[in-house]
Amino acid sequence: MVSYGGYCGRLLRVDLTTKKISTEVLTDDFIRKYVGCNGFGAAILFKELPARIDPFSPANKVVLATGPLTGTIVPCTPKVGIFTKSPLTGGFMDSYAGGHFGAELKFAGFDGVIIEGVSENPVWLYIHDGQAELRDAGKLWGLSVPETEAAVRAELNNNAVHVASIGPAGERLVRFGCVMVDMSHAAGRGGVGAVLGSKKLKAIVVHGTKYSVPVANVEATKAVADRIYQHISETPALRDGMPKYGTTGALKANQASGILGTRNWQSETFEHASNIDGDACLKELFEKNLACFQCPLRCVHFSRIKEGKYAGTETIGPQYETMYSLGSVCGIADIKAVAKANEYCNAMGMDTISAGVTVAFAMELYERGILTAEDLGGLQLTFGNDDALLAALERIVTRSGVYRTLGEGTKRAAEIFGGETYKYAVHVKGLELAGHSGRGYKGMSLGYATSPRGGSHQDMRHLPERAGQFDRRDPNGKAQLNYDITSTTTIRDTLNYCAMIEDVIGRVGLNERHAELLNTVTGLNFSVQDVQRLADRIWNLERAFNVREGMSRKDDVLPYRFMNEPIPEGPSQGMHCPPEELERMKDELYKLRRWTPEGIPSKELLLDLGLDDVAAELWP
Amino acid sequence: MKLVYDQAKCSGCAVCVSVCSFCRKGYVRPVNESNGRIKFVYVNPTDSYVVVCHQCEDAACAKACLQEAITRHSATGTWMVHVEKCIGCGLCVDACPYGAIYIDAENGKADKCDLCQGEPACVKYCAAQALKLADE
Ligand code: SF4
Ligand code: SF4
Ligand code: SF4
Repeated sequence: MVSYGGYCGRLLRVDLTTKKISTEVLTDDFIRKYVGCNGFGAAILFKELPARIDPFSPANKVVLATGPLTGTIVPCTPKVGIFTKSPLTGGFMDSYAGGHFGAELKFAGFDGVIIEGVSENPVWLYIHDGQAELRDAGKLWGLSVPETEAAVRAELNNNAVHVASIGPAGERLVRFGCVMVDMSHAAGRGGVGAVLGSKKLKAIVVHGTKYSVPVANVEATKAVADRIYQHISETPALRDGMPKYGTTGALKANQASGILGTRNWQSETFEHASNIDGDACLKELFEKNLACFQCPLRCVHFSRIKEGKYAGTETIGPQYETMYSLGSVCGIADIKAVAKANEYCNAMGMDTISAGVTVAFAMELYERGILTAEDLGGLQLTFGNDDALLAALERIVTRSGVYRTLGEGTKRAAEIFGGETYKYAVHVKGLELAGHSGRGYKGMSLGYATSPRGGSHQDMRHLPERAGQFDRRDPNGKAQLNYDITSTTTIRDTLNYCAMIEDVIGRVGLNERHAELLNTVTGLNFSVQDVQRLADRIWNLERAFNVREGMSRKDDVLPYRFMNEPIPEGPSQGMHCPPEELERMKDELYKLRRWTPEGIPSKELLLDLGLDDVAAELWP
Repeated sequence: MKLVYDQAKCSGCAVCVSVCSFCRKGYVRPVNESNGRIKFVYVNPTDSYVVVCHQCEDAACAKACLQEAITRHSATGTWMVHVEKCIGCGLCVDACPYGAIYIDAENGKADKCDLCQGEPACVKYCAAQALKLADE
């Protein structure tokens, strides 16, 4: 039994090759050192994965983990983290999904699941009340995500289960195949679904009726939760803005600042932005508010299209990232087309960000005459052509012709196409960029370049710069800002609360509230310094994972366009991040982080953080 | 007084069940457990709903109870279980048309919503205002 609150105390280990299922007890030492979710994921993957394996080989593993707050009354803490070696980046990947799965996994008696090996035939995993079994998924293989959920519910004769599944994209190893939770919440980034596809694991289904999550201090936990509820109820942007718009408001804000990725980032203002913004969603799409487990913000929207070309479309979303990736970045000016593409990607289990940015890449190659309509199987893949966008997405999933290459992601596709195509591939380390400008915010420029995940907006965060709290045009001080913000996002992913309440706990730098949240639930009694050390330990572990794969300073770069082509027009005209400037910011950051000039965590740092094993591997 | 529930407003967050359980027991009850003062029923992401006690005028639970353990509270008008009289036979559970009363796994006695003595936690924390307290 673990002595801390917030845990069931057990991990499930499933070997798909041997079909052996076992449980492992979490130890107090492991909890004190890594605390939860991404801490657990990083520690397990670093320890158990050999270096330089193929992400699709049986040697890769997929770890699912929850944080200590999940399954308690602390609001906005529903998530499950999914960890693996990414088939897009070849590095450490953590991807998170909301819904009810995370809490249900704990109610079923487990803090996490380690999946290893590869099954000969398709299987699905059923976890219920402290037990687990593998079932035949022969009949599920090839089904869409909603069909898969319906099929497992029918087989179990139980609607109450929660499902994390992959669609045909993951099965067919589209490198940005994702895992969908409860049909609508994506552990989207980095191809975690493709790795499950390579293992022939179609779905993980959880049902819990027995276990509950103890907390160290019941009264204090209620007080902490009450303060968050109160903060939400006193903050109009959270109380009214979230249910009304969810994240869709960002589109208008980014358009106003001239930092909305448009036509594969050739531009950062979109003349049709008002056709695909939050108000367009309210008018054309949104029908009902939905929410993750234990979340009062209900930022999720059920959308239905009643008339016109896309009548019959029913989807959950779109949210901001998708309006960018299947909207402005592809030049699409019809929010209903965005919703249709969103519905399709969700059903097929495909990350909307990577999918949209990849199609935008192909659109630019087509418009430049590098790919012809013949290459593209007859599609006139012009920006703004919604029919072509949908057809391209379908062909990526069926993996036909040149679309097989596109399903490898922009980085590999550019390598295969050769020539100058790399100049139009908008990714970092292979992960297609999210919808927050890499050249309109200096902090984000450095953040994208150095995130362990690559082009993810979830490590460095744009909001303090967007809100004008920091000068987005000034490179000075951005190393410190990066350190402070990534420390809080690391703890966010460890305790596992939602990014939407980052501001309530604190966005720039760790503070008493982070420590309090951790301590009241777990009883760990960490000081703010201890929490900082925890953040440093996990961040450096993720970095060390990538270093072991061969990554270093040379990989901390931005897409060619962001370093070489200034924003051509609009309010941010002229902004970009030239290589010299990026290198200067990196120097500062590496120094601050006690990394070598090559971007390798120093031996002294690793030893200070108690990562002796890691130090031994990196500094033999 | 009674709870009124509006599924059209409900977001399916299960906050109501969680706070109900936590306020009374200090932990969040697994939301799919078939017993609880208020129940969360997951159908799919768009159609989940909660089950509440209707505080029926003509309460089937009270009528079914041979021990006369379920009576109306004078101030709030809620039907309440007198644990000292309850023998845990479950006749009330069978009688309630809504599945709103259950046998508590910890003490083996019937248990049901008592409207938190007039200030229901579920109503307070339901940000969507899908749960409301109505007089009558
Ligand atoms: S708290 Fe309100 S919105 Fe959430 S499940 Fe309960 S009734 Fe529905
Ligand atoms: S427990 Fe059932 S029968 Fe009794 S008052 Fe409530 S809803 Fe009516
Ligand atoms: S009124 Fe109180 S006891 Fe009844 S369901 Fe709501 S929180 Fe629970």
